[in-house]
Amino acid sequence: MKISPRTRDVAARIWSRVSFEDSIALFACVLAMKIQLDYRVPGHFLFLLLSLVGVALTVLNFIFLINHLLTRLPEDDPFRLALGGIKWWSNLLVRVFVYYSLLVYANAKLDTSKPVYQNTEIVSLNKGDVLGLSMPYSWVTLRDRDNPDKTEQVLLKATERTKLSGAQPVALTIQPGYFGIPWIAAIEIDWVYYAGEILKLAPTAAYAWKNLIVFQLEHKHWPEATAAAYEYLKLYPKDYDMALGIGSQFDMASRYNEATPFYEYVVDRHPTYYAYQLLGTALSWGGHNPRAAEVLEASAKLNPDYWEAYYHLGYVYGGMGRLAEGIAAFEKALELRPNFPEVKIELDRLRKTLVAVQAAQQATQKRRMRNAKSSP
Amino acid sequence: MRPIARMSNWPWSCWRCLVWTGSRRWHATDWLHRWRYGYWPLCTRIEHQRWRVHDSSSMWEDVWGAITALILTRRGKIILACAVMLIWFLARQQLSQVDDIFFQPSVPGAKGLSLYLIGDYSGAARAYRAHFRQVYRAGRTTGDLTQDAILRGDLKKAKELSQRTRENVPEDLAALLDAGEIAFEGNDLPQALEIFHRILQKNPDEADAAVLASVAYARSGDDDNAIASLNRTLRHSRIGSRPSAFFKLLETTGDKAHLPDDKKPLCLLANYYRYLRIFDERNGKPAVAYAEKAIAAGDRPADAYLAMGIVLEKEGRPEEALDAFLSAIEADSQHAEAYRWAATIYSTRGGALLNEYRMWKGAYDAAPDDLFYADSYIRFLSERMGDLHQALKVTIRALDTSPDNVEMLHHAADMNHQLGEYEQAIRYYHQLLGLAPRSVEAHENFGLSLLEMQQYDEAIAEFSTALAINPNRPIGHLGLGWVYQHQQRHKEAISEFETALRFGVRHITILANLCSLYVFDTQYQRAVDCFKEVIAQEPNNSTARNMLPYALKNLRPQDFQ
Repeated sequence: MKISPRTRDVAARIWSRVSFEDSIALFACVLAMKIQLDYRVPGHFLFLLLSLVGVALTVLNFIFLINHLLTRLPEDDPFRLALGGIKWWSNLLVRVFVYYSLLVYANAKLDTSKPVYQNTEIVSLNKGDVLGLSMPYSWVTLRDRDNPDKTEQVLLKATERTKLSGAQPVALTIQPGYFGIPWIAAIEIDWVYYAGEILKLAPTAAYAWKNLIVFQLEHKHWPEATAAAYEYLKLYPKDYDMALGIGSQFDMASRYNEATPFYEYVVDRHPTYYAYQLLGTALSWGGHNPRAAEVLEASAKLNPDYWEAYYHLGYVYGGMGRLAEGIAAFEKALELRPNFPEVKIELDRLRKTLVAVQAAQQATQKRRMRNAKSSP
Repeated sequence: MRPIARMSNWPWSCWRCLVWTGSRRWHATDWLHRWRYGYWPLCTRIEHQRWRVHDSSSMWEDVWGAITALILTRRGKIILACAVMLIWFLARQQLSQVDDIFFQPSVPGAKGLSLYLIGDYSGAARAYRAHFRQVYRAGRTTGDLTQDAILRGDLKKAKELSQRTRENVPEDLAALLDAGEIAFEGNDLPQALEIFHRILQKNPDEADAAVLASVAYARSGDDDNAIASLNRTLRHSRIGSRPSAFFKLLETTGDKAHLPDDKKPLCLLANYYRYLRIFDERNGKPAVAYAEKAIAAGDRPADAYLAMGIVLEKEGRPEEALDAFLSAIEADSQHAEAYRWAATIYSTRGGALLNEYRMWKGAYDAAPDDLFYADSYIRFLSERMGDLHQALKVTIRALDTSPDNVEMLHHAADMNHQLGEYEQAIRYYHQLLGLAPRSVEAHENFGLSLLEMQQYDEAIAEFSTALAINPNRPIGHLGLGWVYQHQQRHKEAISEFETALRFGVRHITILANLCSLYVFDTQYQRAVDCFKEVIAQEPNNSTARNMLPYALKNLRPQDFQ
């Protein structure tokens, strides 16, 4: 295929605009840095590259500034030639950084494999300053707990920077990477290890127990979270807020049957209207509507003038097919809280369903009667 | 000097020109011309020549004129200017570290400062005391007649006044302290120490009594008690308010520092310089130097390491300070103060919770009957470790020995509240409020316990009392909000929570709770906005995630039909 000179000219001009001219080098570096922060590759190479890229960018900016003063210098002036050489090398460095970041991006984005976890501890934490000068990024030096001779540096995200404070055991979530370049998805305090260390010294330290439970829940280690929660409740049996909180976390993960025991724990020991509602709802979502109805009916007796139990009962009865009772419950809820569009909709729906069911029943009855008449 | 009329021709005149001419013209270049060539440029002379009366007040101008007339090369002038600036900078840097107490506007005061700056602390202290004698004789007053008499040096009158006060109010600690100071001034050290001991038994943290006791111990050669007494004052970061106590310590430091080398109490000097560092940072250096000598000589090395560590910590060298504190612990495993300082350093480091725990525990184990360390340990256990069981044990033990200690009662009540033992907590709060009826925190926490016991009216009364004592605290409003929420009085609850948020409560759970109340109060638009704000701040907030769909369903029911 023959490319016309005009097309070639336009393409060359576009290329000169989008390739590494002074104006876009900085922008490309910012994007590349964002990629490096989001899909961090551990090791020392990046940090070497970052410092070189920093120097290269400074040089490029400097050349950009003084180029305007060199307009009268001839093309073959040695000074201009030297500047051109420096600029070429600086551009090369920036290109290496940006292309490497694009590789890292593709490596992470195409990666669908399961993460692995690595136990490390923080050797040092640099919150973004070197020799008193503030840096636009911060990083951490980590030591592998299983292989103490091995250390590596990793960039820190802003959210991690606030949570880590140094000399702590941390867990790395490592993705193997599509091109086989492992990258770090998360760095967080390894509460399984750290809490264990604290609890060896102070077995009743609630701080360690609570963080351990939250860590297990966040990592979806459900049996471990449940076990830790029960241990905690043995030590602090009256921490009902914690029990309800754990139940809510299971609820959020749609694990209603695992949430129920925590709500029951509270309802058995410290029965409040609120705890009853949580238990009733969890039972209902978990597919135990008859038991949910019992719990919610009991709670309605605790505070008959409040709408919430009737509201939940409306759904529960509706789900059980006890439409008339559902309608009655919703009507009661609406009576106690008149501006309640959601209940109005549900009430309308239940009424229509009831009418349809009654019509179907009547039709069935008529058919049966007709069949009975026609039969000999 | 007879006034004469003379044409102004000195460099500052250009600044005057600036004032005269307003912003019309800047004369810096003219000034430089005058400075370099010794005369004003023609235009300036024409524009701004002024005839002024030259009298004795112009003497300094003549001096300046003489200086500027010095035949110096341009380089010489620059060097001279730089040298003057450097001297000014160094002098300013040195003097800026010195406390105002050293700057007394009188001849003895200036003498005191001069002697102090050349290192004659005893002479300086005597000069400052002469200054105070002079000014208090001239009529200055502290508002306390006995103290005035002591500062005037009128011990007879001071003794008389002190005795009269003690006859009227026998338990008056200030009068007792005056009596101790009078005995000290009269060189009756045993009597002075006996009085200081009595004061410290009643109020162990009375800073002036502790400083004076330390000096009295030092003068009677009891260095151990002198150091212990000073450390006790400084652990609260209190320095005392009586200038007389300070100058006595300064004088004693000077006296001891001038003893022959083999008789110098090295560790005591290290600690005294550490104390004086509070008033002048330059004393840190001799403190560390004396501490090093004390360690080398085996003179109470634990206390010396401690003094060194504290100075290093204050100078912003926490790692070296920590090493010094750990060395103090190594030298004396029962040195509670060294443990406390080490714990303080660990608390500023991230991820040092276990070491911090060991240090606080060490401090408490070393001095289990000292409520100061018990209090710190309890706070660490309850606030950092959440170890309420251990904290309560320590509190109960402290209450066994000091049943009316307000701090411990506070801890016991709060801990029982957090453990869900509300009846026990209420008992402690009653006891506490009997001793400190205006304790806002006690009223607030008492209200929270009553709330948990579902005694809503009593809880409202407690929160209202707390707000009546201090209306600017948000906890009372939060408490009332929770009570109203439990009573399903949503509008009132919303109002209280909103007030608490206006007072600066930044807890996301409180905001999420308020959003839920908007739903219950059928303010759906506000609820949706509020939940969105919560989710923006905490994306995984369970309340917001659960409730937002319901709020939306009620706000735009047509979308869900």
